Amino acid sequence: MVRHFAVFGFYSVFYGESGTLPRWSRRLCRGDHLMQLVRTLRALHPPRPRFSDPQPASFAGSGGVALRADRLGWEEDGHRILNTISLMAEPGDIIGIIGPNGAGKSSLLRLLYRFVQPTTGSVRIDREDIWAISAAAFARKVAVVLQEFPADFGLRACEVVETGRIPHQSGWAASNRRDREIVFDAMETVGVRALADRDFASLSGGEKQRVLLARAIAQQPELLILDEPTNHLDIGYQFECLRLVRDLPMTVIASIHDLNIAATYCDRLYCLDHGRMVASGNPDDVLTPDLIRKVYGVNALCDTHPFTGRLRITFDPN
Amino acid sequence: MAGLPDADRRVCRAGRSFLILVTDDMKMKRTLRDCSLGLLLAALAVVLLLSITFAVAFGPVPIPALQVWKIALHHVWPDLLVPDWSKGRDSIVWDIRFPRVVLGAIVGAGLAVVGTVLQGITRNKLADPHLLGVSSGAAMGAVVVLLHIGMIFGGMTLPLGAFAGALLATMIIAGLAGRSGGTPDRLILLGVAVSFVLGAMTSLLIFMADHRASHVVVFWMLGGLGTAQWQNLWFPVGVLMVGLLYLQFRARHLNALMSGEETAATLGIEVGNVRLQLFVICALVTGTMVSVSGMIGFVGLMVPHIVRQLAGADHRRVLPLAGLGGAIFLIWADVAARTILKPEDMPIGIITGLVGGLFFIWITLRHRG
Repeated sequence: MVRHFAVFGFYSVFYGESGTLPRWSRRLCRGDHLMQLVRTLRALHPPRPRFSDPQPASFAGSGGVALRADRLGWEEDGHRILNTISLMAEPGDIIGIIGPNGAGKSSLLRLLYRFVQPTTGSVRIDREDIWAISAAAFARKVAVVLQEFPADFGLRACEVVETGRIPHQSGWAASNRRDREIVFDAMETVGVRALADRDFASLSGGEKQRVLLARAIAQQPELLILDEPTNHLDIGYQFECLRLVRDLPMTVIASIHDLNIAATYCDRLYCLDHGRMVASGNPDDVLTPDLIRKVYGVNALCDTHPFTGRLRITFDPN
Repeated sequence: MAGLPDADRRVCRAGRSFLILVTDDMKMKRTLRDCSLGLLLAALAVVLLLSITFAVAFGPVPIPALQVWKIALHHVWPDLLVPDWSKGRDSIVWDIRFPRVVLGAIVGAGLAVVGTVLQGITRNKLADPHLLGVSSGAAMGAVVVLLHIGMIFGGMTLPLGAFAGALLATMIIAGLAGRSGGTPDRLILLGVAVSFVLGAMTSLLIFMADHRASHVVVFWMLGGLGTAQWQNLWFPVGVLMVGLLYLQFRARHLNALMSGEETAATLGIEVGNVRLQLFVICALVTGTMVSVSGMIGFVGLMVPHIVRQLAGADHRRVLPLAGLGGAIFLIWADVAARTILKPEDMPIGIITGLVGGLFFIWITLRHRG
């Protein structure tokens, strides 16, 4: 019995909890005798299973969630910004919101991610009004990537990603081992694991965008809302970013400037103009030369993309 | 080591190898940012203890370091030691120097922590209770109490008045900033403006009051730890502890606020509410510290900045480290204040203002480059 306790004590100090001990104390254990003992103990006691989920930690959410916005309207200082907009996303869909500058894309997204309350209409996620649940409960379901970067205070990339765990933490509890696993899994998913210890401010635009995406993934949401995710990214990163997003098992709603990207990656498109929904449906149905001329004032040719087989839009600069 | 008995030699050898291990480990890491928080806190706590010892031992009557702690131990636990020191020394150490040094540590820690939080909320490295007008508000509250109302609630009147003033200042700033869109830069600009307005009103109050009372107030406003007494310490200690516990609980939210308000809101934080709570706590801590020590500027600006540079920007690390750092800094600033114009006590606000102002210039120049 006593020996059992002693063995368990050593086991938990040198193996089980070694991640939580300060590094110097682990170094202290590097004396040959102690290491020999640790090796023996490890051989005797195979590592216990970790108490994290069997599935990959970052994808604990299901395949996504349904969102339904009904006749949304929003006024600011008496100006009608958005007018009776209805929108629907099925689980796992990628929804694109397009429209010219000032059409109300960002305002619509703000209504969807519960930053401002609509003047009329409602947004429901799985039949539940988003204003009927708490901000933290909402944040456990919906993650958002904005064009807003952390102030240059020297936060590291992994610390920025770790803020994604906040809606799952309560009280005094600091991040535990599971939180850290989720953070590093999320960084692995978007390929920024190697940047974990870098200053966020020192990263390039594409790296920053991916770190923020990792934060959203660490939030383990069922719905991901992206505000112009491809802005400021070079062409390679644009495709990479959207490929990443497409492979995530969640519903995605993104406002997108580039019509070709929208046509390539979205299941459904909603087109806004002057705060009104002017078209919605499959990319092929929405992105017609007529609509592009009407909304953007540009002549365009729509045909099939030779590589992807999806819609391709060629603009006439004149 | 040759002349030592065997046991002592073993202890020395063990201590030395432990030190080698620790320093070796520090060298292995690129910076202090990779050190665990526990190790850094332990190191700073040791420095704090040494600083307290030195600050108490140092003075016109030098006292051996060991005796300092013997006297302290004797007062905490009277039966443990037989006093082998004079009554006079006892009184110098326990009644005069110890409260002063402890007060310095508390005020330094409080101001540094408040500075950290204000810089986090405003997302601006130059925020500080002094610059944002919180200290000016506290000073005005205290001056109103000292010169015009009197101690109507006994000893608590001064801290309460200072807290009310600090709260008033923060509410004015937060209200104005909220009305105008509330970007962090605007918060700073409004804070500076409010600071000037309140400073002017304080000067007016002093100008209109009785001359002799005014002299006392002016001296107090320059900042000083000379009035420290044990019975006045408990309130600031309590406020500091409550404030620290609460702020540590909010540390992760401060990290999220770094990313901007909208992002913080999408992380499930009720930004307006949290910011209001943080402002109130900052006002409480600042008000208390100003009421016991006057206006001591720039501690809240400098210390968080240095800590961030050395130990990383995660608020869960910065808050406790800045607290310890501020305590150490102010203890040494007070030692300087006692020494430079010996035997005269120099107001400590002059020292921190001088060092802080130069530091401010340095930050600004670095920002450009």
